[in-house]
Amino acid sequence: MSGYQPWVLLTLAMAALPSLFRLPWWVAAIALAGALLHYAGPWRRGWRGAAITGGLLAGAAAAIWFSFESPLSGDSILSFFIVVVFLKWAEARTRRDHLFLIFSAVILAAVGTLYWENLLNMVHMFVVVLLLTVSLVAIHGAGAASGAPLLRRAGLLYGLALPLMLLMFLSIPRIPGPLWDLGLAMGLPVKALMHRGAGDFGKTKALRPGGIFRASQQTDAVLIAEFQGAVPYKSRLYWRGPVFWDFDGEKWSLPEGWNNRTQLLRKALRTPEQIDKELRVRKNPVRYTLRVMPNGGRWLYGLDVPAAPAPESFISDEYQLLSIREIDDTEPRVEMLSYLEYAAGAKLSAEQRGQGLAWPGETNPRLRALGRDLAARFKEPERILHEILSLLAAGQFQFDAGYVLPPGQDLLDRFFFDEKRGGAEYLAGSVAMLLRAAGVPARLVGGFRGGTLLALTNFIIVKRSDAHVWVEVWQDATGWQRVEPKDIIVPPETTTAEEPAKAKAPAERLEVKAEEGAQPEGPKAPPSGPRPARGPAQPESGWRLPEWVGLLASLQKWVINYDPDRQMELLKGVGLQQGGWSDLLLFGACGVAVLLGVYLLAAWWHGRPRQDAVLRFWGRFCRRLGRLGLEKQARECPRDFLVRVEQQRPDLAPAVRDVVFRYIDIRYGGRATPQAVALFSRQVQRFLSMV
Amino acid sequence: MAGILTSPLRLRWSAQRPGRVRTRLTAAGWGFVVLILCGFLLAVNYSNNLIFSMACMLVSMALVGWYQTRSNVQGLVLSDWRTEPVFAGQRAVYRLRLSSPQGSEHYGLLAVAPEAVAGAELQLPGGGEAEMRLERPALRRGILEPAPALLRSRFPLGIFEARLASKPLPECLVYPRPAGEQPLPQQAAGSQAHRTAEAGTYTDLRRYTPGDPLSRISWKAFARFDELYTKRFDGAQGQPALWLRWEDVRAADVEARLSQLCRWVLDAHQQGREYGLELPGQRIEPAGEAAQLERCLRALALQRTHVQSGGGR
Repeated sequence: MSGYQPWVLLTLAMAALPSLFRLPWWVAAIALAGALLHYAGPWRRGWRGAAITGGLLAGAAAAIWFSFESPLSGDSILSFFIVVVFLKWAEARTRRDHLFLIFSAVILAAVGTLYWENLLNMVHMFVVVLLLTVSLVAIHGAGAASGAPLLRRAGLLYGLALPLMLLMFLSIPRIPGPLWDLGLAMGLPVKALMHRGAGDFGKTKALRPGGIFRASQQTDAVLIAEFQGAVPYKSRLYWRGPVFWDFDGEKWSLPEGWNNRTQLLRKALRTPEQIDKELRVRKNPVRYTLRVMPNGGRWLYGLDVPAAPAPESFISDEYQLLSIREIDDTEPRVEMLSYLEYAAGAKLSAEQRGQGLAWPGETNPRLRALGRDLAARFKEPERILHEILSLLAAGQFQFDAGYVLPPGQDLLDRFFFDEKRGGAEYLAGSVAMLLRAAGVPARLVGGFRGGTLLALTNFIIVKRSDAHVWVEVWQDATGWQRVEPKDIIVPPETTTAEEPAKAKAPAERLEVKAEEGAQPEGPKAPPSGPRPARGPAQPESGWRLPEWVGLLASLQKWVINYDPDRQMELLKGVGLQQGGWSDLLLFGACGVAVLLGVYLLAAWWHGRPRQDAVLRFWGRFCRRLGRLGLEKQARECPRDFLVRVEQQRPDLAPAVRDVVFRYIDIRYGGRATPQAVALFSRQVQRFLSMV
Repeated sequence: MAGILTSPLRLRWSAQRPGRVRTRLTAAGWGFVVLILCGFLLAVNYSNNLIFSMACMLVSMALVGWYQTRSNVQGLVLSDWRTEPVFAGQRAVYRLRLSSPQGSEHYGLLAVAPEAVAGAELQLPGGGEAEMRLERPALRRGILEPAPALLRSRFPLGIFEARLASKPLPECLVYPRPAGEQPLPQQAAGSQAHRTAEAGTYTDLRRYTPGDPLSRISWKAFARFDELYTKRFDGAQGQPALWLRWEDVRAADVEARLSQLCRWVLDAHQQGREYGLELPGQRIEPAGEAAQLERCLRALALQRTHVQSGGGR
């Protein structure tokens, strides 16, 4: 019918190709049938065509029903999408149909990239967009453009768009998804997004091995904090929850009456004087507003360590920010002041010291022996702590949040001396117990660490996946101080932002993202190295990588792993120091405008009105004669004009005659060779200099 | 750019200065916008840089396409629209010559006007010339009013439509539809017709003017003087001239009378006879030639309807 249809089919096929390889064979078969049906001749428009299309559609529905676990899973939706698009192709006739098809193809390609995000996919994406361009030009070029001119035209457009794309890509402010996070920050009630039954984790009484990891599998928001001023480094944000003293060899648990309001209130730090007395050292104050999602308990998870009274809440003697009423379905909003660095505690009572040194029976003998050994070798708690941390640093420990040791006797011994691999609860637990064995009171604090910074805003969303547990040590000289054993093993992140892999959407929220669970995600393999020292993974073999591999790696760094941090880096490189999202937008818009201006200028230069040399010289010649009183009338042809000049100024006649005849020769005689034009212009110049 | 946002789907025949280019989004362009929005939503939701780059690519393509669409109609030189009288029921055909003196190529050009049937899209090769065609149905005798017209192009992406206003379509004379079964009346107007178009005795030679029939060119003179001359003759004697009169038409309706007269005029002209036309309030002396035909048809086309009572007597 028309010349653009093959391009449309090519775009479609190209867009669907990666998905077709992955999906069951019948998707490809139906797609092929649809593609062929288009060429089946006129009868595809009759009832036969309709019957075949209907049959294929029904077949696809049945196949989806039987092939996939759920008819609403990501793969089945994608399969259905592909089938529908190709069947639409089978009956597409008008320009609008084909436009619809190529637009769908682009969406198809975009959805395809959700499954893999690598360089090959990037190439695929750009090929699809190039084909889209070619199809669009073919559709709207009125059929005139085909073959080489068509490709040249589309290529030109594509090539001109690439630099613009690069600028935009680098400068569009990144908001880490999913989008509902943004909604939360902007004031959407947290409850609206809460799963039923998820709101009672605040009642948990004990910390069991693997518990942190289980919590980290959930992505429900816990709280949203809006900071006043700059957001501190993510690694320094500790949201303080339950404090554990009692260890029974397997689990850490809260004491009886931990949730008793009367007891809690009696011991609470109410007045600023009390707080001042408790906080011996305090540095780095931060002010922020908390919005806490219902959790069934009293936890408000104030930033470690909260230091200001707030309505409807109090600060416990263990420096937790607690709500007076249990948070079941309200969404408390608290303005808070916290000190990120602190040493707290006026004095440790004998009872508390006993609790802080308690050791459950004869469990974990090796750890206890090591602790006693340390106590014998070093006197100051400071030195003991330093020694323990050195042991951790030298011990080749592996942080693996998902690893759960087989339950049984002497868990911490096995972790510390044999396996050397596990999550935060093993690490913090063994450090705390080691300290106790060495005679230093220690306790465990649970809560959350870090959070997701909504890029370029002051909002931090803390999710249950940020669950963490750390150690607090008592030293008589200073009081309680935080010890973070995880940082010894895994260097802390010095950025405020979340790593992109963590920010990805949970599988159950939007079904398209079905394979999410398959790829293990954990801190041991951060997909983007936020630390500049850690480049992309190098192969272990010794040979040098060829140049283009380096190029690919930098592509990987700048395109696939591009994130708000790198964006800020870039902004600083350009010269803007403290960049906000408005600076970014401004920078991007200016860049795009300048580039577009250059294009427009080039287009104008290319298409500027050009007067040819002959006309220009003829004009000058006529103007000069006009000044001599021989104005050429518009109705006069050159020959008539010549006659008039010969009559009025016989002295000029020979020169004028020469110019006029050359002009007539070039204009009307068809002898417009470059030599003739050059001669003509020289004669005109001679005439002008002569008269 | 602001014009893009205001009623993009409907053609607005506002007074756009000829030669000015306006750009707006087409329906496909809105589809493209939706596509871009989808891309950004997907990208933000999944923090997917590839989709981000794709959406950015689509936006930049739209931007580049925007100015390319504009430059596709810029630099075109349009002549005035031309048209010729038609009979009622036919379509008035308007023609416009366009050229691109800058030598750039132009694609997908289409002339549009209200109530007009657009022709095919046109491609203009670099430095070339092309003729744009537009047809408007002429339903009633009289004058087809002038109308604004413009050239539009959606090349290359079809997302934007650039509109270059041309000069308005001129008014077009619509003759009555020739109809009626009555034969030509045979009242002679007296004298014999003088038919100058026919050959006769050679009289003299004059300089050629465009429009002279080829058969009258004196090729001998051309060979000698290298200039064209036209031979003149004294003409021939024809049949006596006819009087085509309003009163002779047997029809109740004014339009039907005019149609019958139109038919007569055409018949008489075809038979090569001289004729005169008598209408209420108007009288055209007998003559022959194309000019007489045009004069008569024009009179019929412009004949006012309300004279009917006076003339139908």
